Amino acid sequence: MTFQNLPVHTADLPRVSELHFTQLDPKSRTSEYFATTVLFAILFVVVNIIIFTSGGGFAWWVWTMYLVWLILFGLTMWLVEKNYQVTGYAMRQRDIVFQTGVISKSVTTIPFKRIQHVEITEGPIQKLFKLASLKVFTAGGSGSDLTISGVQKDDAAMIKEFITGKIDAHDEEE
Amino acid sequence: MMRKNEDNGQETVDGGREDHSERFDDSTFNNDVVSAFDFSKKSRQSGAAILLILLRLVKTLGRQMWPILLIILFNPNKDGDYFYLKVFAGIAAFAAVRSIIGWFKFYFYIENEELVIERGVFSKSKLNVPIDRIQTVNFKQNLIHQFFNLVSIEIDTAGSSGNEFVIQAIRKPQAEALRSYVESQKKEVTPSEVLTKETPHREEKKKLILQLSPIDLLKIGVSQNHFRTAGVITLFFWSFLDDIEQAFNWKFMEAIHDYFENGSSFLMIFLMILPFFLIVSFLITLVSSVLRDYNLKFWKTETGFKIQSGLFNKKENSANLNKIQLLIWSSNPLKRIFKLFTLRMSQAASKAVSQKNAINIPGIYPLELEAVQQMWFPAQMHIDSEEHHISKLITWRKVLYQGVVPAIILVAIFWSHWGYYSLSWLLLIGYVYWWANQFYKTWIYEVSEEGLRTNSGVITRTHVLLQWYKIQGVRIRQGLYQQRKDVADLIFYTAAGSVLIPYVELEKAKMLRDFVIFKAEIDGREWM
Repeated sequence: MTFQNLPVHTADLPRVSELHFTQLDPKSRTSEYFATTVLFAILFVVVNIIIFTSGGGFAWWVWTMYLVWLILFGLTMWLVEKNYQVTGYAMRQRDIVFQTGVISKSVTTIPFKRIQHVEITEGPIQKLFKLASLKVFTAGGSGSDLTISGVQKDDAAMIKEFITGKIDAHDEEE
Repeated sequence: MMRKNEDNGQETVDGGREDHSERFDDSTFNNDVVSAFDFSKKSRQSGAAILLILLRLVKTLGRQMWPILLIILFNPNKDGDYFYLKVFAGIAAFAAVRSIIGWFKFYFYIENEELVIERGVFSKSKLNVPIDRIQTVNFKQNLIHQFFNLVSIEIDTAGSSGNEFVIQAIRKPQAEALRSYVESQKKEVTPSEVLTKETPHREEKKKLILQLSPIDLLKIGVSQNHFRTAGVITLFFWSFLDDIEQAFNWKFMEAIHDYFENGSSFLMIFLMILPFFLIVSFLITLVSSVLRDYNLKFWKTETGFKIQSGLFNKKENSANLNKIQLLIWSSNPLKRIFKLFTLRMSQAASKAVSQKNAINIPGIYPLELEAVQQMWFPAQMHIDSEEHHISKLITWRKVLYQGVVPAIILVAIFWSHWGYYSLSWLLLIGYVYWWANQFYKTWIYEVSEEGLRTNSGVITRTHVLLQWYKIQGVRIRQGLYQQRKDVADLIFYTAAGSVLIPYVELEKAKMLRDFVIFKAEIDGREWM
């Protein structure tokens, strides 16, 4: 089931899977918790408005709705935690690797020399926690673009500089 | 202002002739071209562009507001005071004035090795595109263009965000000069092509690979996917039914309703309508493919490929060998009878234009197809590649989600009406099993040292050819089920689209990923 005719022994190649991934900033987890809580609080208020304007009182379906709300809230929080644990990035000599996702897990590898540019953005909640998103763009607007969301602002700037340095170094080689 | 422009136009034509006479003896002709067409001066589009702009306006207005137009035509005083007519006239007049001012405010020129486009009526915008970033320059001509010897130019850079634009109408010689200027600037940048600079004007040396005869066009028209077109027509018809009814005071819905009441079943109506739509769609696809692909010619140039086609709207696309990222060819059962393939060459381009920018050949025969593969990717033809299957697990997954689950739902829905007969929906599972198994069996990917070829599809067979060194990212993706079973979807990204191999054993996917990344990183060739 392995590949027989590739020129290098694939076993000798640098392996992405043996990498040590850097986790996102712990504050990003806090900010995700925060965002989720706010979202569910709003949902809770809306649900209550619906219940009490319809004049249902505490019928059985009201309790069911509360229960559903509670389960969804718990599940989302659990996913946030899980997602924080699996999400991470690693930079090797020639590429960047990004791993994320619980329900759909993905590991993306992009060689530095195929990166067109790097962008740092800050969302409103991220600003609150002094976090930033690092966006890595490749040519053609293809799906291989990366968004590492939830790194410290300084770290983001550092990574950006590192990658840009690598891109420039590669351009000079040519 | 107008006069200045006309002067410019005069110059252009002369310059065009000079350009041709000097082409063959002077390798510095690029500079001549620049002096003949002074691109550093701000120039407007050709005056005839106004005509084109207005015509396009009529077309868009017609397309977007045809229900209103119908009302105006058949029942002009519907709301009293000719309300619709006034609204329409107002919008049309405003749009027309805006477009004409737009022409006056549209300039293009070259400054500091950048192509600059200035435009905008209410808010001005200035777009600077570094010449060496321009990926493709494509020409298009409709009847009016052909009459005035104009072309419309589409320019694209491979950037992520909308860095592509169209110059609606400039004189053909000027357009050609602009294109050769762009291409010459690029050649200086690419080291590998400096070597061949001794032989300038490579454009002229082209070899015809394929030319479609009327019989070929007929075959292509016949072998299109008519069901899809029929579907589109039906959808179109339904979605505008309301508008049409309003305009003509027709009563389709009621008629159909009556029909139902009279006892004809839906199935009957469907069976009556379907052939009608199929015939209509057959004729439409036939006519449209003749119009679009009339006299299609496909050349190998020294730097890549070039294609030209069209009866009323002539279109010319070219692709540099470097820029072609994927070669995709496919055939359906009808095409297989004619031994025809459709071929698509995806070029590096921004997302918005990558569809348009691809070279699409609606019909190519095996011999020519092989020649094209040979030209674009000679290595793959000579080295061994290994055939691999995807994981059998995909069959069971498809049977579950596309067979078992829908079958159970359908049984549940029809249970109250049909009773035990509703269990016949379970036959669906058998059909889906057959189909999923075929899908699994026919999905084969061939891996070599230099690239990848995938073969997939049960009814429409699709093949993709990919060169490792053009890869710009690899992703391994696993859903929950895949995580449990240690299989993964393996996705290779290029600057012109991606290739996905589903359900690869995880170990294998990782191995291939590591190898491909390694290949892309050590390869120094220009990849786009």
